[in-house]
Order: sequence, then structure tokens, then C-alpha cells
Amino acid sequence: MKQGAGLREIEGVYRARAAEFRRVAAAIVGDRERALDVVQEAFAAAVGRRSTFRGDAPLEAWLWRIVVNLARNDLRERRPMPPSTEETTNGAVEPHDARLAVALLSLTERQRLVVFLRHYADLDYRTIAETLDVSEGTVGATLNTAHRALRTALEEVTK
Amino acid sequence: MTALDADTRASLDRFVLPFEESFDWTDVLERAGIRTRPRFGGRRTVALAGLVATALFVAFLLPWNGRDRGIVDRALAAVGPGPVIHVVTRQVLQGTTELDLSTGREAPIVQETETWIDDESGVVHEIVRVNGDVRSDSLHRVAEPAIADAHSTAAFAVDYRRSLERGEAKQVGEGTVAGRPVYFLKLRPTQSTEPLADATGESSQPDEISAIVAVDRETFRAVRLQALLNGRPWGPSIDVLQFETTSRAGADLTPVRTTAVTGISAGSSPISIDQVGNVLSVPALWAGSSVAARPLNEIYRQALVIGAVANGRVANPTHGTALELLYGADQPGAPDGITIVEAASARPDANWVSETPGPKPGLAELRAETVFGSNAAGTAQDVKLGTKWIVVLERSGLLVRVEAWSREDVLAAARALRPL
Repeated sequence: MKQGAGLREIEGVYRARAAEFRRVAAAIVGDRERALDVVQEAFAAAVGRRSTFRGDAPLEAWLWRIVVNLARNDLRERRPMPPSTEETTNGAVEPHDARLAVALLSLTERQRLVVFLRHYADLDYRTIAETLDVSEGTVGATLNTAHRALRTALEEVTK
Repeated sequence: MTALDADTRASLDRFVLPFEESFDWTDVLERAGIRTRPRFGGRRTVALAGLVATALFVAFLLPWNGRDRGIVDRALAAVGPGPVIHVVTRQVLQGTTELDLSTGREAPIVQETETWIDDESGVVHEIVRVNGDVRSDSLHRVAEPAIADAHSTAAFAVDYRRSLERGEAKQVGEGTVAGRPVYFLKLRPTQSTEPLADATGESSQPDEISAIVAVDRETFRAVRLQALLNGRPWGPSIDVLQFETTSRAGADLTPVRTTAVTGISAGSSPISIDQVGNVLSVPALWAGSSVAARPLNEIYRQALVIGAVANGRVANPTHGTALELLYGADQPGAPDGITIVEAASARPDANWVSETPGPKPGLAELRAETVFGSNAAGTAQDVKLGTKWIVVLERSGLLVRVEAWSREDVLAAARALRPL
């Protein structure tokens, strides 16, 4: 397999998918402005580490992994408030649907990530699997469980 | 595969609203510690301020006097009142030559850029010709083509006219350009939004962008442009062949005739020499089992996603293929290695090889690029790693790019190309 990724290849993915990277990052960190920064930092890290790309998985999956990991680290380091059902803060992701915010909080982190990558980035199971370093079967099962949990949580909230 | 119900899907859509299709790749490179270079008037018009020595140089040394509003008014009158600016510029591409591989004869490459700008709507139609052949033809919309942000012919044109209209262009001297008596007008400086000074090795901030325009003393038409960065010549001087305004009906703002495409790698896999025949739609070229004392180490089949770029995304993507041959190295761009990349020139796959078509048959485009990056120990970034030499040529239905770390090696490999 080829070792290393070209600057032009990374730039191509960035230009083609910047909006999706930012949307997933925003879903994870809960802040649109921070999401912009996370994606820029993630791609800068990818550029710096491009010689370590092993080429045994698509470049985009490698980039998604960097973005997701950086977003998760950002979330942990900053210890933000989870999406609130009652209030919004300036610049934060606004929980337009409070029921969904509650439902998402009921999911495990992996379930949330799978939902975000599937819904906001429209990634296929294989790319999600490579991004999260799990099997495709795990992605399918996790997504099934997450969808069921979301439906249940939404129903409970509306009762 | 499971599906979300419509209500949950709609909730997720509202939970994190989509982002605008915008990006800032320069910022990514800066964060990565990679020095970026500004562009002015063309893809390869790299700012090499230290190398520029033109007659205009004396002009910016002169103090402002700015009292002869009559010259500015007459320059504005020469531009005209039409809503669409039409400008044609010409420049010699620096660091790039056209080479006859068989005779070794080298000639400069002259780039002409014809631009139509509807300042009100922001629609810009730009046609780039290299030695008379159309290299790109694009129609796009820009929100605010200010000189500090776009570094393009369109930006210069808009800024020049606005400076004249607002009285912000000032005469700073007189002289001759190509034997013609001229006035030198300096445009009002603006602040750059990018760290442009890095391109000249300076670190002062903020960066100040301006330009000096040579205006014919008889016709008051612009005849030459010299961009300035922090008061110093920035990039080569550019001949202004035409600068006028016209009505929208008389402008060429027709839809783009050629579509800009981009290539994205979808992964590469090593193949054996016996498998090369099945990779491209035409027979592949190679430089033999070794070239310039470097053996053929690896061959990769490069899977590509090709498509037109629209709104920041690759629209209607198709799949393509390119071939990479690595001599003396096992990865592209490795120090001391020679890389040959090729794809069918009749297919959009060729965009992976070069953003622009190759020169005429029998000729090759030769250029040198300075490469920056981290040092071997990874302890310092932004280090000059060396000069990469690149040859692009079209042969036997293939567009081929050859890269090496010396002029001799790249020419040896280009000359050795033959059917595999």
C-alpha cells in the first residue's frame, strides 16, 4: 500500500467536504464556532502528519478519524454543558428540537457518533467503520440501536 | 441498513444546521506551519519580489504628491463609464519555460489573461491563454473583488477603477514604459487579509497591498501594472494590453465553456509491471527499468474521483485512473526519487496529472518549485527542503508529469519516456 498522502489530495477532500466536516464537528462539540476551529486544526494536523497515512483505508476515512478525535478531545478538555433543553448560549448549537437533544443524550457516545457521521456526513457503513475503528457490522448494529433508542426517547419525552 | 423516521430526520436537520460551503485552505496550511504563496494574475505567477527590477521600481520611491487630479480624471475617462470592465493583461511566467526536448531549445511562456468583470453583480469571466492557446476559461461570481483579497486581474481592474473614481490614485512620478512616456499612479494601499509577507520572507504585519499603474501620457490608458507588498514590488510587472469598460450587452459574460474539474484520490494500490497494460485506456509510458541511475521501484494504480467543482463540492463525480511510476524511491516526492504520473489526456483523469493541458506536441513545460516542509527530525517546520523540477508533456494520448529533484534528472526521465 502507498505510504503518505499528498497535500493536493487532502486539500481536495477538504474543499469537497468542508461543510460536512464542520457539521459533524459541531454536533460533537456543541458549538459552531468551535467546530470551525476544530476542523481547521484537524486538517492542519493531517497536513503535518500526512506522511504517516498508510493508505490501507480511504484518505477520507483517515481525515474523518482525525476530525472526530480532535472534536472529542476538544469536548473533553473544555467540559462544556451538554445541549440544554431550556436555554441556548451565544454561538452554541441551538437545540431547535429540545426533544431530540434529550434523546441524543440518552445515547452512548459511539451511538451518537455513528448517527452524526451517517446523518450529517452521509458516510457509508464502511467509511464510518474505518473512521471509528470498528467493523461494518458494528456500525449497522449500533445505528439500529441508536435509531431505536432515539425513537423511544422521543416518544417518552412527548408522553 | 436502517432508516430514521421522517420526524427524527427533520429534528436532526434542525439540531445542527448545515454550514455554508466555504473554506480557508490557506489557514489550514498556516496552522500546519507551511508557508503559503500569494497569486497575482495567474496560477503560476508566484511573487518573487526580490527578483523584480523594472522601470516602475523607481516610481514608488518617489514621494506622494497626489496633487494632479487632472491626470486621474483623464485616466478615469479613458476607462469609460460602462458597467462591465474588460481588461487584457500579458506577462511572462516566471520559473516556467517551454522546452523542445529533442533540441534543448527553451522559450519563455507568455500568459495572456482576458477578463470581463461586472462589478455590480460580481460576475467574472476569465480566459487564460498561454502562448495563444486557451488554458482555462471560467465564469464565476465574487462577492467583493478587492485587490487585497483576490490578487487577481479582476481584483486589480476593480480596484484601479474605484481608486480613480474616488480620487484615491495619486501620481507618484513619470517615466517611460516600452518607449512610451507614462505617468505612474499609485493606488490607495489596502490591508491584506492573508499573511502575504511570508512569501517574501518578512514577518511584519499587517501587510499592505498596493499597486502602481503606468498610464500612457497621450491616451491615459493603463499600460503596465506592478503590484506592491509592503511598499516593495510584488511579483512580476504585468503589461496591460487593454483596459476599457463596456455595456453588459457588449460584454462576454456567457456561461463557461470549459468546466473546471478536480481530481481526488480514492486510494492507490501497488501493481506489477505485467498489470500496467490494463490500467489506462491507452498504452502506458515509462522511462525504462531504470533512469538516471535509479531503478523502477514501485508502480501504483491511482483510483480517482473526478468531477466539476460546484459550491465547494465535486458535482457528478466519475471514476478515473492514473498511473504512478516511482524510480529510486517507494513513495511519491521522496528525496532523490523520480516520479512519473500519467493519465489519458482525452479523459478528465488528466486533471490529476496537471490542472492545465500540456504544451503542443513535441514540446514540454518545464518549471521549478520550491518545496517547504518539516525537517527530517520533525523539530522544525517551514524549512526549505529543496527545489523540485517538473516537466509536463502530452504524448501518445497521455498527459504525463515527471518530477525530480534536479533539472538533469527530470530531463533525463522525460527524454527517456517510451511505450511500456
